[in-house]
Amino acid sequence: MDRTTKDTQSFQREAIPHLDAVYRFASRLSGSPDAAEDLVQETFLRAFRGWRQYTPGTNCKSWLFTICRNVFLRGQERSQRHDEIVEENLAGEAGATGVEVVNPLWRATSEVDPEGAFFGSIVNDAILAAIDALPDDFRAVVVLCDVEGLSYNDTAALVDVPVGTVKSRLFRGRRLLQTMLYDYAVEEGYIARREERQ
Amino acid sequence: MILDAVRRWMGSGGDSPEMVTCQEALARLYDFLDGELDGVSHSQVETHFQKCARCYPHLAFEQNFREALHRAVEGQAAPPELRSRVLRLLDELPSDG
Repeated sequence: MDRTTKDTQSFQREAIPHLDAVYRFASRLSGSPDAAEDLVQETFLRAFRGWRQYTPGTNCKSWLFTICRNVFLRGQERSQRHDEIVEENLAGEAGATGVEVVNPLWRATSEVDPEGAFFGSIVNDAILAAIDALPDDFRAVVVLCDVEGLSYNDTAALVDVPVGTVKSRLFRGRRLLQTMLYDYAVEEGYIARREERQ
Repeated sequence: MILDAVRRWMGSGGDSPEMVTCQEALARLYDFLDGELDGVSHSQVETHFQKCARCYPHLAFEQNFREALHRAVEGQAAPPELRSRVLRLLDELPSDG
């Protein structure tokens, strides 16, 4: 029995189709095209070496993202930046999703653009730059859930935190990202800045 | 009847047992968009947003935000050279890793 050929075939069938998704994820994690390419290459080599540990029919994309993130974190060693917002988030993680039901940014823009049409005017590069500017922990969950469509459970398993923490980080990461995009839209004149309250 | 229509327009659809309240709909907005609702059905929340003119803009705001993210990121494909390089390296790996 030619196990290698069989492994290669199943790997090409199940894992390789996710190469674009892993590249997108790697780009957002690393923030640079060169680093993303190295990350993807290493991810797929490791994935292939460990292919027999993968359970066929389970979420292959999520499995590849886990490897990608582990490779990235290992490369980061201890130089990982710690944003104050993340620290704050981690300190008060419980119940973060219920803190403020109405999005403060929505409140700020509701008179001129209640449906957030300004998001549609923002160029792709500015959106990517804003995602890249998010603190690492927030960026990971926003990309995994909002861009790649992973479930809360899969994301929690992937980043190794409880589901509640995923929700909390998503909540804060989305609002932070929306604020950055709003500031960009104001600077570019897509939307008028709301007058300071009172 | 007119009162009912006005009430719907003003967003107090929570009076119906089939619909959630404005407060609940907004509190569960992210779970609804993420397909992760728990304890309330997707259609109950969806119906609220469809019928409540005050809550609908909140939904549209978040949907426009997500569409912008997708548009920006989905256009990104791995460079063809990277794909070829990965496939070549896999080919070159020794038999039993």
